[in-house]
Amino acid sequence: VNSDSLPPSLTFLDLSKNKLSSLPAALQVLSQLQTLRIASNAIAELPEEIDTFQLLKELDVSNNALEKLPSTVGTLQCLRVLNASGNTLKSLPSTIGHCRSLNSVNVDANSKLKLLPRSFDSLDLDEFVVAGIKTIRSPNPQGLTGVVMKAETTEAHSPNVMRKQLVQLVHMARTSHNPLVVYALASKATDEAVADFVVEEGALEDLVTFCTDVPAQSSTDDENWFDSSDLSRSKLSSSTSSLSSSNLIASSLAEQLREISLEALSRLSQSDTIRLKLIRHEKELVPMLSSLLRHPQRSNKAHVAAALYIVGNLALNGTSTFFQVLRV
Amino acid sequence: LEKWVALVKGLPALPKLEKLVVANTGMVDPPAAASLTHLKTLSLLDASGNRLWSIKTELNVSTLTSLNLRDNQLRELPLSSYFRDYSTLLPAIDLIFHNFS
Repeated sequence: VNSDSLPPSLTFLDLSKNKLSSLPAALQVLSQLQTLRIASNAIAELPEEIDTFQLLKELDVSNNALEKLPSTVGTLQCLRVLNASGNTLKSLPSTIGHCRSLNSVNVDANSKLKLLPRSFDSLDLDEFVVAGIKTIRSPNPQGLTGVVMKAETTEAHSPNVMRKQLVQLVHMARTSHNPLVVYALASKATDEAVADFVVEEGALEDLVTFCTDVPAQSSTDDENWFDSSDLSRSKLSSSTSSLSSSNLIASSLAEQLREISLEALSRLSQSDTIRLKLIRHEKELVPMLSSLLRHPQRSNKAHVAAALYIVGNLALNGTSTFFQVLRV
Repeated sequence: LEKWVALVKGLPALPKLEKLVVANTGMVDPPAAASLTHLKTLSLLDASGNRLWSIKTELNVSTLTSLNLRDNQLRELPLSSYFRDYSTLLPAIDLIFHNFS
């Protein structure tokens, strides 16, 4: 392969919707590449040499025949957007957590993808699409300080397809501590139509375990976990934002979540019970959720995820608390 | 169509051309390379939505930063140097529309 075949000056290359079956290593000459789109081809494997693209910001490999991504993807420190949807991925490389700039991941429509690597939880994602569910973090449309987590089903599916998607989510929630995965599952768990399934699979119990069993940490490990730049204008008083009170609030919140979730597991009007409990405790929950979401750097990851879980329920249940949380 | 062909044939007279879009023209694979070395400032080439399927020569234009070949029939890389010289587009276009050359 002639390395002169492509101009090294290229920063943008779109080869989508062709009939390529491979991506030759000769592309490594493109050291300046920032956008590489090779969607909708017939590519079964990406070369390890993809680590040549150290300036790459967007990689679109959707709708190919990929069963895996090369581990060298983890070296792409500038990568912001990864679209690997519509493949046959069985897993993601454990190195993906090293992509520090990554904020959008789409691994939707990979029916064999059941697990996410542990390292996935180190990513600070704004958008994550998996199993037909798109979860995004975006500025509050009302202009309030804070963030809105929004989950939406990317398309309508038959009950069978939805069941498969839920199985995927359950597996992923069990293997990854990434809050977006947990949130995606939690948002689905509140759906009347799938509540029974989630309870059957023990998924809700997993969520409870996930949200309550991880010991609170005050180390710096979590400081960069959640970009709190959007939350820096918090209106919370200093008395409620100290580390100790934050942990107390988190513990209390986790306890409430456990109670609520266990109640749901009792199979007594699962979805309705959750909803009623949340509404009943609305006043108490608001300041706790606000504190956690506004000071994630001071909180345990699991507790923030627990907060997101509850906020997700509130949002999906149509209560006004969701926005109250952001106002406090 | 004739105007468009005339425009492309006139490209050599546009030495400062920075962007060349020949998208969705029905263009198929080009004949042997010709020269379009006049376009020394070209930074963008959009040849998407055509019927290119095999480009056998080298693509190496030092000023080119953006290459869009989306929605063609390409089966393999490397891309050819057919694009190395943009003049190769001319006979291709001729071939498609008028069977020139």
